[in-house]
Amino acid sequence: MKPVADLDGILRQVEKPGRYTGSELNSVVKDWDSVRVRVALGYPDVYEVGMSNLGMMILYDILNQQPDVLCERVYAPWLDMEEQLRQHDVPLSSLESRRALNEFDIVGISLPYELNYSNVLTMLDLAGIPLFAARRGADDPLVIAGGSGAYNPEPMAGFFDLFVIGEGEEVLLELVRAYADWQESRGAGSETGDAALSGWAMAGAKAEFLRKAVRIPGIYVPSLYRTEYRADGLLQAVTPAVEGVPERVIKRIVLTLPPLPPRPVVPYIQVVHDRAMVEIQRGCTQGCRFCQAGIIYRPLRERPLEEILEAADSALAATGHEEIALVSLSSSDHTQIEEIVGALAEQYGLKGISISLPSLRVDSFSVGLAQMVQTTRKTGLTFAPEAGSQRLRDSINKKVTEDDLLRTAEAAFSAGWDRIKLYFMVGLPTETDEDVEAIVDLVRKVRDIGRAHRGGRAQVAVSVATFVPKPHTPFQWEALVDDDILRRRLQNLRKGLRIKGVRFSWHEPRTTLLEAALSRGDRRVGEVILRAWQGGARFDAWGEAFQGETWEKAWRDAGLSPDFYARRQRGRDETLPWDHIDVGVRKAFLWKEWECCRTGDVTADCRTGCVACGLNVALPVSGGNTPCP
Amino acid sequence: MSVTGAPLQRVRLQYEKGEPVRYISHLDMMRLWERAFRRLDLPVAHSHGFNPRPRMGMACPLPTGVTGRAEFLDVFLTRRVDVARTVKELNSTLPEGVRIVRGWEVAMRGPALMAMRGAAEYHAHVTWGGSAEALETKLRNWAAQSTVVRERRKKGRASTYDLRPLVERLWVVGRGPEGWTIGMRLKAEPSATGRPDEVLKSLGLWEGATGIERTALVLEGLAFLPAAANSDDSR
Repeated sequence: MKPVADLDGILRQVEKPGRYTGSELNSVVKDWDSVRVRVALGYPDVYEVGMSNLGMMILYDILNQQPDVLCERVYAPWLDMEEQLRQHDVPLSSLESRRALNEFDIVGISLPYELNYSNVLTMLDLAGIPLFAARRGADDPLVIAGGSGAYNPEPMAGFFDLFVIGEGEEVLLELVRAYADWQESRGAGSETGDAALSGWAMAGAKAEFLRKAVRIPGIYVPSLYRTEYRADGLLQAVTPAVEGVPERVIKRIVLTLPPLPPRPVVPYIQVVHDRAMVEIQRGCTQGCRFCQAGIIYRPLRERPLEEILEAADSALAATGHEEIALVSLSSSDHTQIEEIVGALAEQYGLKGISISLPSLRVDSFSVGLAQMVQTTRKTGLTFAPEAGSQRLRDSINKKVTEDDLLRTAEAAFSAGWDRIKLYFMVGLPTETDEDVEAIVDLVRKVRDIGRAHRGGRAQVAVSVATFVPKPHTPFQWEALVDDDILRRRLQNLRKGLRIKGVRFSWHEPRTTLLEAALSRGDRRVGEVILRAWQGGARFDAWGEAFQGETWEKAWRDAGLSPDFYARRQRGRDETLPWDHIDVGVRKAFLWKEWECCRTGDVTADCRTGCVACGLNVALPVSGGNTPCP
Repeated sequence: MSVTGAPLQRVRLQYEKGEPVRYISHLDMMRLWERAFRRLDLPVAHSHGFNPRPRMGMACPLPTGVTGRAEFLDVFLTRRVDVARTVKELNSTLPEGVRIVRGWEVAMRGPALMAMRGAAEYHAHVTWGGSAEALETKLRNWAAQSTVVRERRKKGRASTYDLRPLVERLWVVGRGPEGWTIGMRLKAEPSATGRPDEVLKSLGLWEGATGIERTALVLEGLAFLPAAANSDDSR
């Protein structure tokens, strides 16, 4: 391969070359030879999406704060860039030092979404890194993964040496140091001897490290587990293949939220979320049954007011962004939210810096918060009732009543907003045609309130997504809704919502089946991913790139069916592919929640009383400084 | 930075756009400046209306991929600042590859940078195996044409235009990193701007080009205009 410096020659051939040039303000370039370990953090989507991810920025900052570690970034090259890299035989390289990925000690890839799994293979392949962990030796980088996708690691298990389960802030440092120690102890032996080792022995050397790594809590090494299947195709068990390997890997958490990056990297080109981000809390106590984040990010940890203000101040001063976003799963739930918003509005309002509050609860309190930060523009408020009927909202444990929503609308329109955006899901468990039609009634009522206050200017934007059952939720046993039912309900909705002042949009369901199948896949699905990628699948989350037929063929060729993973109702006693990954919430609790969904019983917000999800027993929560609320 | 307030001072900055940022588009450069001003909390004036924008202007957008040795930017401030100190502070917060060479105050009501007419000079490093004389002949032959029809795409639609009148002069500067460096002086007017990559393409020198730099903007009214000496805007 040619040296990476040749990148310049091809940058003028691609769209948005600013995706690949790096050297952004606050990016960290360290002396390559001054550190013990070199880590490349990868995000399997384009730069604009990856640079909007706060999690990756946090890890980048933490790793680079260590004097003996260097961390650089890499994103998936868009189709045109991949073509150019291949054509010119130039390897995929990091943004900071433009080193090929295979020169790093560790390549860590975030798995935020199933529909960018195929890009992981592109990134490894473009750097000449063998795709399969089993084919990589001790001289190849250690290829690891983390993020929400790691909570069901099985579909990607063959491609990664190990997965970090849970929050990476602490465990990643432990892993990086363990790797450095091991490498140095190897080096202390004989360099020449190593080079003379056969490929088998090289793999053996790496296996030796993996056996050490598996002792770090939160590390899952798939090659040290055996998977067995029953004659009927169901998974029998995933069990340790060797001694000393934990049967279940419990997720890691940080008891106190670590400080946010004081100097976030400032992208030159416009990215999806071009703003300073301040994570105000992690975890959520609402307990919505469809929500994976609500389970896997437990327990709730709030960042104190003082720290939030400091983080905002430092991020704005270091970046010059004109917007600050408060990041959390349910911003209105922070116990100090009024003080936070009030202080930020006072400090930045007059400077023309806008404050955005995503994930607001559906209530007039939230409208009050939005009013505190609103500038001259009242662009729109977004709320997520998720379901149209009270019955269904109870079933999914979305604790919003029609009254809540109408009062929220009243508050928003009367305060001067012209536009309200409402998010709903279709295809929820127990859903009937009537539940979906109830969305129309609800939207009509909201629009009427809007008209009463804002006249013809009032607008209700309705956005509908297809529900996809996810691992570790009460709906993990559920079948994905049938295609014809889904189409019928969406069709009805489209007809019903042809109302003046209402705009209806839905998420293209073409990729839903794939997302559902990958998210609950087992280890066998890895072959499908490989075949689809070999067939040209790339950027599956992008409408213009998604290749439905390539995936269909890949499933067929692997002798598997996406329906088996996506559309099958699972039994209570079935071994699920992610059962050995322990998020701290008991499976029995999830099942009880699933039963409550059937009976329409609501489970309270766990701030008002422990709902016995099991987290405080499984994780060292109550003993720490952040007790379960 | 304050959203309200009338502009009281207009500061002109001459800056360099170097290698690390050559692929940053004109629009992204504007955002880069906005953020730099906000980092320093400079009192930038804003436009009125529904969506207030910072009042700044740039001369003759630099094509993406081209570096610039003498680029210009005007910014309007609602409070007077010490220009020399501001330049120094800005330089300490700008990303690698962007550096202010000098800054000075210009008349509030002078012409906008964007509206100025004139020319831009470029140096292009090209791969050329032959002699300087042969290259000069090639340039002369090109210039001898009465029209050079090129195609351009605007919003997906193709149209043609004549590149020849947009080129004022072509010459060989000297040895370059991979062969020779040629110079070109192209028209830079709001309605007629020559693109250096287009010239290279029509010369057949684009494929082997290793870099293009804008060395000078020769615009009417751009030169040093101290505000005091120019305060009577009656002319």
